[in-house]
Amino acid sequence: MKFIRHSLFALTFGACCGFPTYGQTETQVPEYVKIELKRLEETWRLLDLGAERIWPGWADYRDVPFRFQYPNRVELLVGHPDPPDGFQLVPGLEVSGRKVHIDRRHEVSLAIKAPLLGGGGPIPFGKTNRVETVDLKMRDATIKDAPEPGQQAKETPEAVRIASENQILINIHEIFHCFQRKLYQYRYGNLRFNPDVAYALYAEVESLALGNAYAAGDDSTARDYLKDFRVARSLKRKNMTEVEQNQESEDEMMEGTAVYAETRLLQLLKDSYSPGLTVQDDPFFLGFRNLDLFLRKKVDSLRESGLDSLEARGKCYSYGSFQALLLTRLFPGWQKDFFQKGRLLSGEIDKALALEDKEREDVAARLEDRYKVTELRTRHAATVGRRDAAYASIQARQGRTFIVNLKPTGEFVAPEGYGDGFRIGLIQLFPDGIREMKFNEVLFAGQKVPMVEEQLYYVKWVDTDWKPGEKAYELTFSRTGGPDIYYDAEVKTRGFTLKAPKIRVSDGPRRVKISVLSKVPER
Amino acid sequence: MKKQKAVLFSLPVLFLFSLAPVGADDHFVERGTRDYMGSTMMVQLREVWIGEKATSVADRLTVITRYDLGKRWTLAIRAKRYLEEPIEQEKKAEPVAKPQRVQELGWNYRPQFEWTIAATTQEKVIDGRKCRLYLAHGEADYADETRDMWLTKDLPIDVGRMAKHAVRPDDEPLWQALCQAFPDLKHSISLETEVKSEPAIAPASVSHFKVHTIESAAPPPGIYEIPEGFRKVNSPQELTAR
Repeated sequence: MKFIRHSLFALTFGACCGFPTYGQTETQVPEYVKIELKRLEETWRLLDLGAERIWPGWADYRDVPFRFQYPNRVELLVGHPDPPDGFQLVPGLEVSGRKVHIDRRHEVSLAIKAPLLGGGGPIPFGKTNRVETVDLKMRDATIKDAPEPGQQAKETPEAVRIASENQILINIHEIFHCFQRKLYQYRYGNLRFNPDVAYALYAEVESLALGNAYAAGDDSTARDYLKDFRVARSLKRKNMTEVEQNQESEDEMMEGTAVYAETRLLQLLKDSYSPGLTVQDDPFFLGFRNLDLFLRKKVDSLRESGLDSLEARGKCYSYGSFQALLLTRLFPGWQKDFFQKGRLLSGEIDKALALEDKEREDVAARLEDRYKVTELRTRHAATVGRRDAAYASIQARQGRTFIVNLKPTGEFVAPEGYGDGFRIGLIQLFPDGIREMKFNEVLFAGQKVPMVEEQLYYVKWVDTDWKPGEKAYELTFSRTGGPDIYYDAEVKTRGFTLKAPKIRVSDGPRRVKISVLSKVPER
Repeated sequence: MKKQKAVLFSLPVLFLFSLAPVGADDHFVERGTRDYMGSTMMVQLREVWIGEKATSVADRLTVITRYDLGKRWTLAIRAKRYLEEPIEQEKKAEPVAKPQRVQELGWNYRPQFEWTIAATTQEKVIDGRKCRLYLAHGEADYADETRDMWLTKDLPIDVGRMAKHAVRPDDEPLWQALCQAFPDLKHSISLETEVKSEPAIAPASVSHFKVHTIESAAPPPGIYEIPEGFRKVNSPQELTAR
């Protein structure tokens, strides 16, 4: 409401230039919002330069609305035709003619400081007109040695990690998803698969083969490595159902081409680019000066993904993008009607390579030496075995169950374990325990006892020493706020201590559930 | 000759009667809306017909059960496909617990709610029928749900058999808990329900359901038959494939 009271006219000069235009509301708009809008405007500028060259026909990128959700529960909506109730128009503030709405109904007292980085994806969003909207959850990207206002961040690896270029690339990635969805209908759903040894082993061979093909100096060598990739894929998939295989291929196609859009843009910027953003606009924008570094991150991501024994779906981003990059290099024109005809990257590669059975056998025979398959198998088998043992042992625990629920705070569980963590489905196993988890005024300190993080927002621990009838925890607090609600609370169990500004404790026959209702003190 | 004619005339009529349930059947229609992420959406309408020999439950999929034929047809209306299963075989078959593949572990979380149900003294009249408010709270490891249900037994149908079919399959544990806590509510139906759902990962939602029709009436022709032009499939996956 205060925006409405203080509204004045927008600056028309800025509107003509295409940059965010502000009236006196500028003073009312938080700094992090201003930076966000400028990063979005720079995203569109970059797509003006390259969208058509990245993917023929990609033209409607400015029409995709954005929703930004901040840690203080402020929400921002840009370019949306039908905002839900609660979003107020910010008078006089537009980005390239797109209106800006803000929802501060649920704002909490939490200082938000740039740089912020966010992830998410397109969702149907709107009051009655639900349009594909890029929905991003913004997070504080903590940095040491933050630059003074007006000063540019130094190009250290840490500065590159949190640079605004990353957010601009994420914006491009998500806008590309909206473009895909207009042309392609999902058929199979997301891959839900825990790797076995064959999967982990040959997935690493795939990543090495794709990396080699990408780095190859000539097309013939690149094509040869692509054959390795294709044969390794057949071996990798021996324990996958047909549905899982299709899910993997579809995920690679959707996520891979979106990463491809980012990577192609970086390649195209080498030809010509002059930034529209300035240091005064955003001190965390480095002007894409070090393009090779950003491109290198894509290659590193492929390699790191191949090394990860326990991740399946996460591989689709880099694996898919490198398949697309190689198709562009070796088989130009592959993008024509690609989405419209429901094609998949692996299918395009199959068609282009047209491997005969004899050649497949020859390629399979050379993988052992080329990629040290025995060595890779030993490494992956050890990790997969540890995961399976951890799962069996944690599942067998009997006693009093404790659930810590962070969902009301909007914070994902991001714990630091005492030892390795093992992912299985939506469960992260910590057989040696969770050491600590800390955000804002919330602190979770764990003992060295097996615990799990599950469903993104929850920690589960089973107290095996608990005796029926025994109170399994101690609770202290400054005051209560209705049934089961406690302020400035501390819960002590044999497995962990939790401190939080506001919690609800539900002590039922099957579990003690502690929901963290606020991450900052409430007055 | 006259007698012969009469027999000949009555045979097709009897045949037609044998195909479809005779007389009035019980009919129930529930509509709903769901408030989710700032917008309100219509929830799939649920329509139930119950006759002597057959039932039809239309939801996301439509299930026609023909007790007279010993068959159950599950229809995907938009896709014009149906799956046929024998009812008898279904009863005999013992559920066999397959060993779960390690590749699939941990992906499918279905909350197992523990329900606590409280009766209130609040009453109101909905469409001329006296209802009482019952409050249900379901708690699972990673999800919560509350339901405000306006229940009545004051209905012009066989409430017992309708209650069995009007309940969505996912809601059966709630109804079991309800009947355990309040056995006299076994033959009751909620005419209005508000469901506040806090799922494990997705944002919270609030749904409102209202029973719009509950009557004893003649069923429309063909309600217990496979519509024309539907293709038979061999598996649930094929039925719902995109």
